[in-house]
Amino acid sequence: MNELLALFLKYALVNNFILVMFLGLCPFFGVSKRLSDAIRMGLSVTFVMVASAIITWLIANFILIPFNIEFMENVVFILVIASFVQLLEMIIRKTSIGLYRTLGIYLPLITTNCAVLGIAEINYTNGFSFLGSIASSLGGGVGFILALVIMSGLRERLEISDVPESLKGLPIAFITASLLSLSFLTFGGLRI
Amino acid sequence: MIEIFTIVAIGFIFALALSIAADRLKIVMDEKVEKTIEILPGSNCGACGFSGCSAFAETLVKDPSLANKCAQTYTDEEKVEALADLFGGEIGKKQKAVVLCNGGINCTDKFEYDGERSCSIAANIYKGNKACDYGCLGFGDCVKVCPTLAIKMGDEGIPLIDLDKCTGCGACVDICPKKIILIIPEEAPVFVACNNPTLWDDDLDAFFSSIHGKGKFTAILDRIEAYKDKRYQMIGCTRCLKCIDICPRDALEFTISEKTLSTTDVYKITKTDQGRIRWSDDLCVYCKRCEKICPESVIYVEKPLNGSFNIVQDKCVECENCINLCPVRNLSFTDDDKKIFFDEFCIYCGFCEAVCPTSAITVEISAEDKLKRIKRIKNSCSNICRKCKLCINACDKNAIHWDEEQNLPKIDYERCTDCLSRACIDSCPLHIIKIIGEEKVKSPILMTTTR
Repeated sequence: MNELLALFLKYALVNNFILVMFLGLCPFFGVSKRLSDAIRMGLSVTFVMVASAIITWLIANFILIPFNIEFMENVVFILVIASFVQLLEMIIRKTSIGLYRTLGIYLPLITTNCAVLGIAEINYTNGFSFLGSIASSLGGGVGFILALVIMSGLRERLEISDVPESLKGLPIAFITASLLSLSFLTFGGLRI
Repeated sequence: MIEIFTIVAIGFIFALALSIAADRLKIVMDEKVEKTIEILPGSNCGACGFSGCSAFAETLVKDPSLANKCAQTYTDEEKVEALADLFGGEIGKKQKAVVLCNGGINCTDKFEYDGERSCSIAANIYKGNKACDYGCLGFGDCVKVCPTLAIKMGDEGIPLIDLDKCTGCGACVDICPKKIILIIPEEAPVFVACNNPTLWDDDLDAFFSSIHGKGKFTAILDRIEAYKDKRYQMIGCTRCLKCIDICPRDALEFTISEKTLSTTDVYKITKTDQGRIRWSDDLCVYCKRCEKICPESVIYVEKPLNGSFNIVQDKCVECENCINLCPVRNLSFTDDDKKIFFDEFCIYCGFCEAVCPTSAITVEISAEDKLKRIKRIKNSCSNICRKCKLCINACDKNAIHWDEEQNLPKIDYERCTDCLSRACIDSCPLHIIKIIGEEKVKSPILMTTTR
């Protein structure tokens, strides 16, 4: 149990996907303008992460390794993720058309989100157990939500603050993100 | 072999799962919307301002008059017909875009810009390199964004819009960082090609602060006994207060020292020896009006600038701009045949030269004063609207009125129809009001009026 918690914390804080490993930066800037959108986007990414981690673990351990075709991992993983995002898109569209519109282009972009592929790769190369993969991918997803929520809160604040004309919009967001990233590096001292 | 089989098998399983899901999770969409999406280009270019073609289609179903927002569709006659059939009736309203700037190469540069050739980037640096805050930067962001390639950059540094190709989709309006492109009805004949609302307030303030302390004001404001005309006599201010009334800037005021004044008679005392004229360093512009009016000749003023002014009376169109706006009220009409008369109180700020729509007035300063680093008032652009309001009187349909907030003439396009005289175009000495489609920039004509 401790091991799983350690994996969870490792990918939620110490190796935060966005702020430490710099994966999945596209939605980090694209959807972090409003807090509510950020949470929804984070939840969808987390869902895709966990689900694809489960399926990729099953495929890797029951198909790729037994047949000795490990070199196929990237192709198969991408296939899994792409299909999963399609499914997610359909589900979201059916259940909440408003969320579908707000996520807009970023929903299909989860397909090419390197954080999702990243967690599958990490699980595979580190040889995590089934529960370990779930814990790490859940940790990655929670870390993703955390970064997005912090960033969107900051950006909502920035909207109303007095930013120099030439820094308005993305430039100040980049600066904020780099400072945020610096502060997240302190989790490197966490002993897990 | 096994790897190929594996990937095909996995792909097949997922495809099957997805198709089942697609069937189960199908959304019943409005038939009209679906058909509209089919007609629209589907390239999701975003020029319409919506997030993709499907979002635009949904709006379009509710309001068919927006059809011209999609230029790709609107230039294709078949598609327009198909849409018209679908919605039953007229779709879209053809509009057109006009550029509200006449500057281009006529506009001076604030600084030399050597960066990326993009308006949006240039506009982030001190509001762009053009001296006029409302001037076209001329890097052609609108040219790049136009979906129908209707915009070309003209020789004068102003984009020229091909009206045959323009559908009024508004993509250029959104991209222009200066917001100087306007969408107007297609049948509109004329537009005002300037967007600068300046009344030269900032320029005047800059001039006043630059002459601050450079002129001299000396006065004997107390009554003293002095040796004059071979005898001792009292000289100095007699508190006639004529200078206070004449001062155009309220730089002089009469105050009574509080020590000798009881509270009851504050309002009764006007001219008394207890009071004293006070001169305000900040407000005085050294126009010499007080020196001229003083009966005791105790005030002496030295102007910070010296020079000469000249007016070509034939060019004057009697707009009264110079008379109304002169900070020291130095100009006036003479009674006989309305010639402009310059009094002797000119401070050579150059205001009248800047506001004269026909360039009839020239104000020169002497050679040694040119070294004094005084910011005289100069127009950043030779084609800027001078707010002479001649167009308003010229229009016989009352279609032009003065927009007090914008300080610019505003054309009411509902009234501006069936006009044959096009009097507004002839009335504008600077050709700022232009016929749409004939936007080639003309240099200001030298106007002569017959009286």
